[in-house]
Amino acid sequence: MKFLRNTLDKVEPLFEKGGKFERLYPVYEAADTFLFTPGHRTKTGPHVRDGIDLKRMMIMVVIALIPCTLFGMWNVGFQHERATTDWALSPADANHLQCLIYGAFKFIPIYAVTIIVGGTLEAIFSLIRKHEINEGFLVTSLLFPLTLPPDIPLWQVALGIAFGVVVGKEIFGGTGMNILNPALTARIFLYFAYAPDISGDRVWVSGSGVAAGTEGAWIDGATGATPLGYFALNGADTAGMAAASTLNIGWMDAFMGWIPGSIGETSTAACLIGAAVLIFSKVGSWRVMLSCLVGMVSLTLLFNVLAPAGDGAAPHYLALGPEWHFVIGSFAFGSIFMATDPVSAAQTNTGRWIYGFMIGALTVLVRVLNPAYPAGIMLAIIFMNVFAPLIDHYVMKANIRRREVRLGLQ
Amino acid sequence: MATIKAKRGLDLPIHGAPDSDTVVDRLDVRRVALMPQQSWGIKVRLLVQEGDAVKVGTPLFVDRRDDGVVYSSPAAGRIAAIHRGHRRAVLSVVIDVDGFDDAEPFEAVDLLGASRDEVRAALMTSGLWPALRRRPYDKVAGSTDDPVGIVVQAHDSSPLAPDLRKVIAGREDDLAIGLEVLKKFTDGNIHLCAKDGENFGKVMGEGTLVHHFDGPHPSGTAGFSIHKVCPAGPKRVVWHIGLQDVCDIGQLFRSGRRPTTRVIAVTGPAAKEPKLIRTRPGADMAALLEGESTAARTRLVNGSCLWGDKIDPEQHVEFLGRWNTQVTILEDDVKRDLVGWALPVSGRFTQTNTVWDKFFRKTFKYDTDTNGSLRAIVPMGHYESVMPMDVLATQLIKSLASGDLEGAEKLGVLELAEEDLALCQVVDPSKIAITDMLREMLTTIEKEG
Repeated sequence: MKFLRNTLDKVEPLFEKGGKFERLYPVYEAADTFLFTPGHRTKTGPHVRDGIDLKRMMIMVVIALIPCTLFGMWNVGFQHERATTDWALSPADANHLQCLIYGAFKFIPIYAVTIIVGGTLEAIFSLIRKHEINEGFLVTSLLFPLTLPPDIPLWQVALGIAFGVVVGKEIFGGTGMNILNPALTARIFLYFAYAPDISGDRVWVSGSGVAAGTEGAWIDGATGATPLGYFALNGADTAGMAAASTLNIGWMDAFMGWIPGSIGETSTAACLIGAAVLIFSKVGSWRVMLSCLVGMVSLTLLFNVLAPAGDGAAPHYLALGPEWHFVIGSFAFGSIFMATDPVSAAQTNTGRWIYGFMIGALTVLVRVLNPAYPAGIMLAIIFMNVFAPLIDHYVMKANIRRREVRLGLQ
Repeated sequence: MATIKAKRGLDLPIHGAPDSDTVVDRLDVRRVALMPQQSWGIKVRLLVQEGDAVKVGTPLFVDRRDDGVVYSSPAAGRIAAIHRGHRRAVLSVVIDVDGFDDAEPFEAVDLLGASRDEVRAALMTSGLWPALRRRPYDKVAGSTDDPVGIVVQAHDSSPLAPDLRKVIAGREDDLAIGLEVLKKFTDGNIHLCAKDGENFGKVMGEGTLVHHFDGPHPSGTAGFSIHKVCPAGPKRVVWHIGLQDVCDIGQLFRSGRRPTTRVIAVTGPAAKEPKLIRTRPGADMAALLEGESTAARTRLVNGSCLWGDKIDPEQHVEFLGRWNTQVTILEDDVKRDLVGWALPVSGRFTQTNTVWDKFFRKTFKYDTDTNGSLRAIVPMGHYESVMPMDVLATQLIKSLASGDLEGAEKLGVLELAEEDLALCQVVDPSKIAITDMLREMLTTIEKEG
């Protein structure tokens, strides 16, 4: 320890003003404060400070994402095993270790590419702008891979994260100044630029491209369709979806998350563990999470009332209950991890309620009434990201007016 | 009246509160001084030179921008030094003490018959005027101000602050007269802001409203009181004053003697023995508190650890501050822990639940570590969680950071002072220098507005 500290102290002058590697100071700073607490002392009042810093804060979000990540890797393996051996395979009977390893082999390359490409870009911008390398990328770089299908080509991953970091964040001035959530910007870029690789029924389970008859090909009857896709086609036919001949997915399966989907977002249960971590540690905004839920439930209940009566046939998609909207698609993942990004969300407490409510409502709106995009939350969040400053603006105006009235200026 | 409760805020669980209410005499003070730079925006015109003999109450300097505001000597003796700093600003006027009995005469004023101008003139020449401060800008009250109300702060919720009721024990008469004096200065009300459950009934005359405050810090700060009971703004000046200072003014008008003692709390995690002491106004704290610290490197703070100024002999500001009722002793040493950010236990308190020490410790030995390095603002709602006023903390702080004068003014910067945003800075994970930016903004607004 001592040796490490001494070495760092010894090379520090090289990176300081006038040193040989002056321009690389942000890199030194990142390494130095990664290894040791910075040891700065307060200069003026307040003379004491809270024990929290941005590193700890971001690491909390990463910890909150661990259940989703581990479950996601297992699920990639499980879906693959299911599609290649026995479509009715029960999760309990799967070879868990093998599933996990298979998933890890899919996930880790995606994650590594994200870190390398995104991290390099982040460092380059920091060096040019001469500001510190921000820990926020720790979260972005884990969120992004979790929203991707398992078989996505790695060059698309690289392109996506590059777009997310540069266009989603750095052109606005870096962390703290971006309008859009960078991870989501990256995801949406891929969604619109390379739609065939990231939408449809065949991309959510690994191994769909393998020719029939060869090792690792899908068996007959396997379908990679997600509940979202199923409902969009067949209406709220939950009983039909649970049948072994179709998707074989009941409510509990969707809640636990052993269903086809992007790597990390299928399991509402794992997301809820993450939500518990975020809310308990006071790192995530419970206001946004709760209001997302309220917005989703409210609009869904309204739709349920408006739904046309199904005469013998399957009920209309409008009739799907809120308990289903809660567990299908990325609603939980999006509202817990994506919508709560503090920088791109609304930044007043009143604004957060409106922002979350609108995300919840828009998610259902896009899912149910829009024929083009089965997945709603991604678009709902990015849409509300754009509107968040406007919401804040009106909250601010109301506050300013209230103050003026109090002072007798109006 | 109904109790006013601070719904948000934070009581720092800081170690080092005094055990008893006994006031220990520490009147062995050899040097005292006034530190002009404590009064924001002052331009000093000195009235004395090094070597001059002074009495208690001899004018030492005036504010060139507000000529009538006299700062007078707290002791009798000789001017030992006049220290100057950047751009020759006077840092401190130091007096070698001979005694405290030899005082300038004070002509008694008949409070019942006297006009506002007479009382004002008496208070200004006495040198006690700077006890009054005003919002906006949180500086010494101006001689031409017409305040819409005066807030008497009888409750200090700052970390480790003394119970002000104990500090002024036995001075009820002084308090009553002091309040009568204050009433002369405003057509509005005197607002006495007390802790919930404290009864000031018997000293109150007409025109004085007693408000009770409850809840975590900052429930007992002038800023919060003003915000709740008598809001200040661009054209609404509100004065505020501490309880002990009201008693001092009362004593002056009752007996003609200026205050020569001041009760303060010596507190803090590194204090050997936290206690209440009776000392002299402007006393040399570095000398007085020598050996009172347990730390290898010590930082003395004039006031609470949230908003106080550093007591720094190198800058010649090692003296008790004008408005203080408290000195905080902190450890000032650098420690660098390996991968500190990854450990769930760090010996530090956090308002979030990311460090778990708070679940098995009641108080913390805070030191001066920032616990993190400077980063961009990531608005996670921490500012709001400690801001009980109707002020949009994140937006205000952003407007301070971007130097947006107009925005900051609209969002209420004028009614704020360092003490009001101090908690925001404490809980800030990005370690932004919020209170410094606030003062810079207030200075700019005053200059340009």
